[in-house]
Amino acid sequence: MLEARALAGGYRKADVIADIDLRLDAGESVALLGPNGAGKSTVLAALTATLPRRSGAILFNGRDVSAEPGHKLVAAGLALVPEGRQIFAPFTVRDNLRLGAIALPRAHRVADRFDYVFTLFPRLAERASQRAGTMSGGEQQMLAIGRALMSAPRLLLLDEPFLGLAPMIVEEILATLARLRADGLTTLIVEQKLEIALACATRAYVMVNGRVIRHAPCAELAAGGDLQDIYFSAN
Amino acid sequence: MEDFLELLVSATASGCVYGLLALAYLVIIRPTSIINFAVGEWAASGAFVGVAVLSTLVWPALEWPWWSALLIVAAFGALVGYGTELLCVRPLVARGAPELSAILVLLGVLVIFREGNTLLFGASPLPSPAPFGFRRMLIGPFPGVSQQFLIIGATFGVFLSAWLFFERTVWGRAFEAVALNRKAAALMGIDLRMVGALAFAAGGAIAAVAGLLVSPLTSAHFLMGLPLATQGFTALVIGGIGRVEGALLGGLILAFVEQFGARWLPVPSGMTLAFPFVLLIGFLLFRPTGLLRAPETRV
Ligand SMILES: Nc1ncnc2c1ncn2[C@@H]1O[C@H](COP(=O)(O)OP(=O)(O)OP(=O)(O)O)[C@@H](O)[C@H]1O
Ligand SMILES: [Mg+2]
Repeated sequence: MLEARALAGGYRKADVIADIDLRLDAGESVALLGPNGAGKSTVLAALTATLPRRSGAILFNGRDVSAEPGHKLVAAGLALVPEGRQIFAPFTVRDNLRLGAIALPRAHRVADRFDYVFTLFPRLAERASQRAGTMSGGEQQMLAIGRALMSAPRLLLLDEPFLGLAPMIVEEILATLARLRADGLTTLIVEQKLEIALACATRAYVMVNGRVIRHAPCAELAAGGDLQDIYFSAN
Repeated sequence: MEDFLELLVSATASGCVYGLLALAYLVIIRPTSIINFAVGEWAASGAFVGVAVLSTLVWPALEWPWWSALLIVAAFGALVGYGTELLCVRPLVARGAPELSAILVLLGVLVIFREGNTLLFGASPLPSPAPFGFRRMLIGPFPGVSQQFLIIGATFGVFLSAWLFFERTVWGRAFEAVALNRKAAALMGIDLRMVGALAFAAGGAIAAVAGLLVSPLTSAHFLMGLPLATQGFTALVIGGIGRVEGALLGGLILAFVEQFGARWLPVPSGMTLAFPFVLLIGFLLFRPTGLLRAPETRV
């Protein structure tokens, strides 16, 4: 589904990430782990073509999309739930979702996407006319995920979607992600906690200082002990 | 009373022209954060192109020559805006240059258009025909020149369409989304470059149409651009860049202060030219967000 080879790049002169090789098969769910500042969000920016400077090859659905602009990737089925949600706060929930479907391929109907997302998150349906910025953190995260799903993605990238959420909401969103996987969606989720990665991914890449230092099934990582030890062993 | 009503119509018409210029600034600023002072010269170019089309080309086959000129001028303005974005703004944005560099380059564009207008159309004012002539007429109790009523009606139409576009269409929402949060908008699959180009095209079209609309009253001349640019900018500062309606409100307030102030305030007539600047400085100092704020502050 997605393959990145020798991905490198950054914001200014110096590279933030280098030598990143990633591979996701269709239907898989994979985690990207690493401490603050490791470059996880930068990898997602490189994959979605929003990083100012990058090199390397990206294949999506067997097609080389290395030179493709970001908006075409969305239409091709790649969606990102960005770090910090980045919802359009003054807009209503409905308008936020509608914008998520702006690049929806012609084969889909916007109304069907609304139905799908509202079934997944009934809370968004109840609050469709509410201003997005006035919702709770958990609801805003649901909106950010729902908005990304409006473009009918085949691969969903999520950047620390559980950050700052209460355990109950985390459970709720984990259950939703499980349902999405059951529907055949491929997911790449950026996380800092191993136990959450265990709950929503089978394999994990571990990043430190802009490089992937380890790649293993989540269970194997968990058996190996603390993530901190793995990070430390890299130095 | 008669005098007052006549002044009211004339101030409203001027305010509409300022409002259109402010709108031309606004549609460009919202998604791109770039202030384009060239809109004043684009308005002048619109007036000149309109006059040229109306005076040199005779179309006996066309029943509505003035209205076809209006369409041609709008298309011309859109093309100018689109081309300017493509040639002068996009290369800067692509290199990650700050907005200020684009604003400076657009000042260069302003000079090019002013000199171009002078070279092509000369330095003496050209009379511009009005579609309904220059008849004085009464609409209800309001006395005025037909062109003034045309300006008011056309401005209302332009603002209504702009408002409907921004508030009621997906693409209007997309423009707003770009204004709120460029990165998130890009993640939706919105093509930021296309939004930038369309914003400049819309700004160019609105400015050129404003120039054509006002030219029968002022005639088309090479110095008309600068006052339009400053008055439009002042109107924008008064109304705020948050909402489309603000541009019209700002234009009307500016024109009312100018015209009623000149009539009734005990200041020497030359001093009235300073009114826009007094308002501009006052608003920048005491209410930099303008009168109408965006529904919520920017992200
Ligand atoms: N917009 C930016 N401009 C310049 N440097 C940036 C920018 N965003 C991130 N960086 C730098 O790139 C490096 C990696 O940041 P990144 O956000 O990818 O880390 P991360 O793994 O996502 O961390 P976190 O878990 O805290 O989100 C950091 O050193 C950061 O300072
Ligand atoms: Mg991050």
